[in-house]
Amino acid sequence: MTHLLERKQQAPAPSRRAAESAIFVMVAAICIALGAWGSSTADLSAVGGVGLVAVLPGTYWAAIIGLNVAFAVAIRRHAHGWALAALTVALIIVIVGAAAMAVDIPRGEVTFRHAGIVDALSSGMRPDGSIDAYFDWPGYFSWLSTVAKAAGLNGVIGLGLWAPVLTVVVWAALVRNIFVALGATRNWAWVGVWLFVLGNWIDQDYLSPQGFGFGVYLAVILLAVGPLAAWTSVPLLPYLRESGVVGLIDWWRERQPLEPDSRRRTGALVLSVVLIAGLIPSHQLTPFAVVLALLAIAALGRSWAPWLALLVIAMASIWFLTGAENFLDGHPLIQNSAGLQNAASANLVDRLEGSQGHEVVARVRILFTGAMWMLAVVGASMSGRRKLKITVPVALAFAPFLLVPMQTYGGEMLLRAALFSLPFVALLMAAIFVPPPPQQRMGLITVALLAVVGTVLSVASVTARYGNSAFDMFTQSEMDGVSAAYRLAPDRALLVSAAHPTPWQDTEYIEHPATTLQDLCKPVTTADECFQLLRGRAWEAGEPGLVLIVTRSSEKAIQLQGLLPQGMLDGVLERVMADPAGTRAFVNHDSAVYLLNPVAEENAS
Amino acid sequence: MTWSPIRADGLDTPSASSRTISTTVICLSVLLPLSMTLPESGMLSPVRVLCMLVFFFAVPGLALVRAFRLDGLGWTPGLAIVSSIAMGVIVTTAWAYFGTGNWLPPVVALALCSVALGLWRLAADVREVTP
Repeated sequence: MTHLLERKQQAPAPSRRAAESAIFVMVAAICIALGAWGSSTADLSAVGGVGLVAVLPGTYWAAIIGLNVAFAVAIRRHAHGWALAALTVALIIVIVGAAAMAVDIPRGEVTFRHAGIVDALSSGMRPDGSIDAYFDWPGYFSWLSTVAKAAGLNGVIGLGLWAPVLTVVVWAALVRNIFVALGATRNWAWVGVWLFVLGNWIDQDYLSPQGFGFGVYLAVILLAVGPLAAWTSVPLLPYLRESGVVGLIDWWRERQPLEPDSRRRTGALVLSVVLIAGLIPSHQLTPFAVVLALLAIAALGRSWAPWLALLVIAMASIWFLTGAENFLDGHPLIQNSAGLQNAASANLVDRLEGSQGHEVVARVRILFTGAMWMLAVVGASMSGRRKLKITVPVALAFAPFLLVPMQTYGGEMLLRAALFSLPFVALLMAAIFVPPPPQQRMGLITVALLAVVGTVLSVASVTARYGNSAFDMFTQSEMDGVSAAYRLAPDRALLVSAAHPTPWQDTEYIEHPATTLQDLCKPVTTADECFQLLRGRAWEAGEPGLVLIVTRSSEKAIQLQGLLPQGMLDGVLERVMADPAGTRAFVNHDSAVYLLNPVAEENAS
Repeated sequence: MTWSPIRADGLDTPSASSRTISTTVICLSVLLPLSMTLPESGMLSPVRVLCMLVFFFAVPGLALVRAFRLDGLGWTPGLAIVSSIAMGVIVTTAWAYFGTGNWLPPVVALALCSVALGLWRLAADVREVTP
């Protein structure tokens, strides 16, 4: 009814509305072209500590401003859904696809590693958790391996280039569906999706189990707040006053299903189980986020299938005890009592180290996320006057943070929790831009505010997302250097990179153990000590020795993040060259490959 | 042709369009995997890549979403893609642990599942229309 009223009051004449919507689609296309032009002409050699944001030209920012202004106007003019969808997809392409438009090599080391795991599974090996934790959750990689073989692809690294854009498009579609299922009005839902795309700087949308896992998380929530939703016609307070906890249980039992068709309820339940069964062997963390979300919905009396959370716990437990038994040995699921302190240290303090530019990026990320939350609080506080229902979104925004004190997740738990809560934070934040009733049309001031807030958040999003571009975007010379290293490496040789990230391990993942000087030399402070550790590893490796790869990106990472003491890498390389067992076997503009081989020393002596 | 076979009151209306969609899903489930027979290099290679990507990313999930009558709510694209991957993960993971490394059986299993789900919905629509 609200939707119909809103449409009637806002919509221009049908022919005019269609013409305006077509113009918005044209604006979206022009902005994509401008964004692509801007990204592809950016001077990547000048990327410094603050990342891509500093080198993107005016044409790129014109696209960003154009999209935000067009979206705000399109919302006010009540443009067709397909026009709003076109603008949203354009925003995703311009922001999330900027790196792919700048250079046709996937960004980040992990995409390459994931391609290597897919490559290993393609050889027909059984998933073996003793290799590393990736093989305890091989589901998504097994699927990708089958896709690659069936499609006749030579590996999946090519899919990694545009995977982030496609992933965020699917996420955005699911997020909008959730908002509508939660009862958001048309404009509230679209603005929420827009803010979700802008707030998504956390960079988990690459070719990864987390990308798929977050999609499942959204799909399960969609089914939970859609066909599996419940409601109670009676208020809670009288029950609580009368009988306390017993009254609470009685109130909870009063739930009725929202979906009248029992076939669809059953279908939603079965589909939820299929989604969860696909998620559990693919990603270790997301099932727990799903459990917390389902419990939050159930606790509010809004779930017709509250035991679904228990089913997820049972299924995940079975996987931990069977498929992932290797991981459990030495990796407690829940950390000790110092959890909160560890979490704060690993998630926040450790990220504020490095060069001045890197610190700026780290602070922008924290401020950006904090600002989103503050605006969400403002939106939530305005929801009463706007007669918006926000109980479930508030619960779903807070629930993921219960994961933070339980695990540091390699120092990333706070970021992951922020990602899981982001859709609901965006929805609450979008409430600011919903006009209070009876006014249905967004005022001019609100439109201007939306365009300005959107543009500012876009700049913050590009800064936060591409803050590591100096070292997580790779050049063709670096790729050539890594290829040379694999070509020169004897069978079973240890591969050592100067630091993360390095575009390696996308092939021969099992054949070559790999480490970095960054990890190897963590306990020492001088170049000589680091070299002795490296030499020790070469002798441990035996006849094949080791291959040391130094790339532009790894040197930048060391410099900007302060991963090694100043001068240590140069000192180590000098010692490698001076050692009878060491040689420099390859060098080009952006990379060098060194061999450290005990056999070479024996031959020399 | 309307995509949605479900009326605004939430009740299913078995329609010609619903039966057409089910038939299309069944045909895609059979035809797209046949592109595996195309060569890995040459002019037909991109066609094979496209067909298999459409199959793996859309068809099983679309069959699943329709079979369980969750289409018509405006959710189909997102839900179908994620469901397709989830179904693929279940089949390929089971095969990775118990199989032989041959990648053909998981594709055939997914195609058969999609056909079965499509037929299920088609049969239900025909049954409900027939007095």
